[in-house]
Amino acid sequence: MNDRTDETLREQVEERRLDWALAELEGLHRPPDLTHAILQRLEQSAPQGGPVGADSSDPSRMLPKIFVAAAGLAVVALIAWSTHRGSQAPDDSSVSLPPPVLVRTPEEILRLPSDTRNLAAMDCDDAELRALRRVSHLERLELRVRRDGGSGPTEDALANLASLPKLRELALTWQRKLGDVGVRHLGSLRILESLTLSGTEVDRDGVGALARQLPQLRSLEFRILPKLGDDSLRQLAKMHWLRRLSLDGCGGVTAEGLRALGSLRQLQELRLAELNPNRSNGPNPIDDTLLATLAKLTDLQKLEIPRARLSKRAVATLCTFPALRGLDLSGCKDIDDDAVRCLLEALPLQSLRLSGTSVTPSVIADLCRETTLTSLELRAEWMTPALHRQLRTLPRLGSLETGQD
Amino acid sequence: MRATPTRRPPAGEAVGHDANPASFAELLVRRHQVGVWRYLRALGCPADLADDLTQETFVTAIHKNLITLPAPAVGGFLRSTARFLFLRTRSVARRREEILVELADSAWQRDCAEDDGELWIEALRQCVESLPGRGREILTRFYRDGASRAEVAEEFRMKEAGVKTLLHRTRLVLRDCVRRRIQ
Repeated sequence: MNDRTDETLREQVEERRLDWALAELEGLHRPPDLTHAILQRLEQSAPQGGPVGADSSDPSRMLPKIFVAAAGLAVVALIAWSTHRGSQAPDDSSVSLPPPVLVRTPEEILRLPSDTRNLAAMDCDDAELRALRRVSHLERLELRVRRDGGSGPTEDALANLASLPKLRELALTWQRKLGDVGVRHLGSLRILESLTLSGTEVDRDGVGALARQLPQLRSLEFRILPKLGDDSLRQLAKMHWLRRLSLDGCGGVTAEGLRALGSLRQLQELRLAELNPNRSNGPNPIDDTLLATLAKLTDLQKLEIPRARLSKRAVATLCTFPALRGLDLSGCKDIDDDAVRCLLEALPLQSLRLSGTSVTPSVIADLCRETTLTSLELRAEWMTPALHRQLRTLPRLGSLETGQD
Repeated sequence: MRATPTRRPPAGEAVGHDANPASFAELLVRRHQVGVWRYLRALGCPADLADDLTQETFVTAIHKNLITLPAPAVGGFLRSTARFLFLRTRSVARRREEILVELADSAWQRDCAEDDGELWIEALRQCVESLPGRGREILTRFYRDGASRAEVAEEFRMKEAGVKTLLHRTRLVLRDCVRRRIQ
C-alpha cells in the first residue's frame, strides 16, 4: 500500500466513523437495546453440556461460579487473549498451557506433582498409564512411542484415560497397538477438543466410534494412518463439527473418499499433504474436480495441498474460498506467475508456500505488494540474495524461507 | 459551549456488581452492547446489519467461553468476534474491506476502545454545535431525517454535486475539530 492509497483509505475510514457518529448524534440511528433479543437467541442456541445461559434464571447459582472461574483463569485467559487477538478467529477456544513435562520412567511418573497440566510420556506401558490416573488435572497428554520399535500401552489400558476428566488435548503417536478397539475407550473424554492419532492402526470402525462419541471434538489429526481408506473418510464426514483436520500421509484414500469431506462445513483448516507419497495407489488424488467439491467449505482459512494435480484453472476455484488466508501450493507444477497474481488479487493471504511451482522472478514484484503476508516459502532455482532482500521489505512478514531448490 | 469532555466509563461498567441482575449474560450484554454496535458502525456496517451482527457477536462469544476472560479482555474479544462476523458478510471487494476494517479498528483502539466512543462522540457533538448555519442544517437533514442528497439539494436550491461538496467539506471540518479536541 503506497502513501497515497494509504491516505485515501484512512479518509474513507474517517468518513465511515463520522457517518456512524453523526447518525447517532442526530438521532437517525441510535444504539438499540438488544438485550432481550440476544438472551432469547442464547436460549434457543444453547450448546449441549452446560451453556452459559443455562442458569440464567438463577443468578445466585451462576454468579459465584463465574467469578471463581474468572479469578482462577484470569492469568491464563490473559495469555490466551494475547494469542487470540488479531491473529486467530475468535472461535479458537484453546487456552495456553505450560510447556509439557517429559517423563520416561515409572519413577518419574510417580514423582509428578498431582496438579501437572501438560505431560508427554515416552514408551508408556499399561502400568505406567494406570499410574497416570493420579495426575487428574491433566489437560493435555501426549503418549509418544519411539518410531524405531518402542512399545506402548495395550488398547484396553486406554480405559484408564477416563480418570482424566479435564483432558482437552490427547496425542497418541506411533502407538502400533492402537486400533479401533482402543479408540472406543476415548469416548469417555467428554471435553476432549483435540485428538492426534498418528501412525496408529485406526480404521473405519474407529473413526465411526469417534464420530458417535466425541461431538465436542474440534481438531483431529490423522497423520500416516496406513489403514485409513475411503470408508473411513465417509465416517469422518459425519463429524461436521470439526474445525481442523489433517490427513497428511494417509496413502489409502482416493478422490472418491475425499469428496465426502465437503460436508465438513465448519472446517477452518485442512491439511492434505503426501496423500500418496509412493504412488502405489495412483496419482495424487487432489485435482481440479476435487477442489471444486471442497469449495463448499466456506469457512476454510487454511488449506495445504502440496503436489496436488491442479491446473491454472483451479486458481479460479481457490479464489471462491471466502475465508482463505493460508495456502500451501508447493510442488503444484502448473501454478505460474499469472495464477499467483490472480490469487493475490482475490485473497488477502497471510501465509503462502510456492516452492516447486512454475513461478519466475517476475512474481517477486507482485508478492512485494502483498502487505498482508506474514509467512512465505519460496524455494526456486532462480532465487538470489537480492530477491530475498526484496521480499524482506514486506512490512508484516515474520517468516521467510527462500533458497535454491 | 460545554467544557472539554473527559473520559468516563459507559453506564454499567461494573460487570457482576449490578444489584438486581437477571443473569450474568444479561449483564454482559447490557454493559457491552453499545460498544459493539458502535464499533460495527464505525467499521462501516449499516445500522440494520449492525443490529443483527451485535446479536450474533454476543451469542457466538458467550458460547465460546467469553465468561472465562478477565473483564478488561471482554471488550476486545467481542470486537474481534464482531469484526470477524462483519468481514464474513463482505464477499465483494473483500481485500479492500479487510484493510479498511483494520484501519478502522486501529482508529477505534486509539480513540474509542476505552469508553465505547463516549468521549469521541461528545467531542463531535461540541464540534457540530460550533458549525455555521447551512452546513449544520444540511447535516441535520441528512443524519437526523435520513434525507437523500437529491431531497436536500431541492430543499436548499442547490445542485446535488454542491450538496455533496458541502457535506464533504463539513465532514473535513468536523474531523479536524474532533482531532483537536481529543488530543
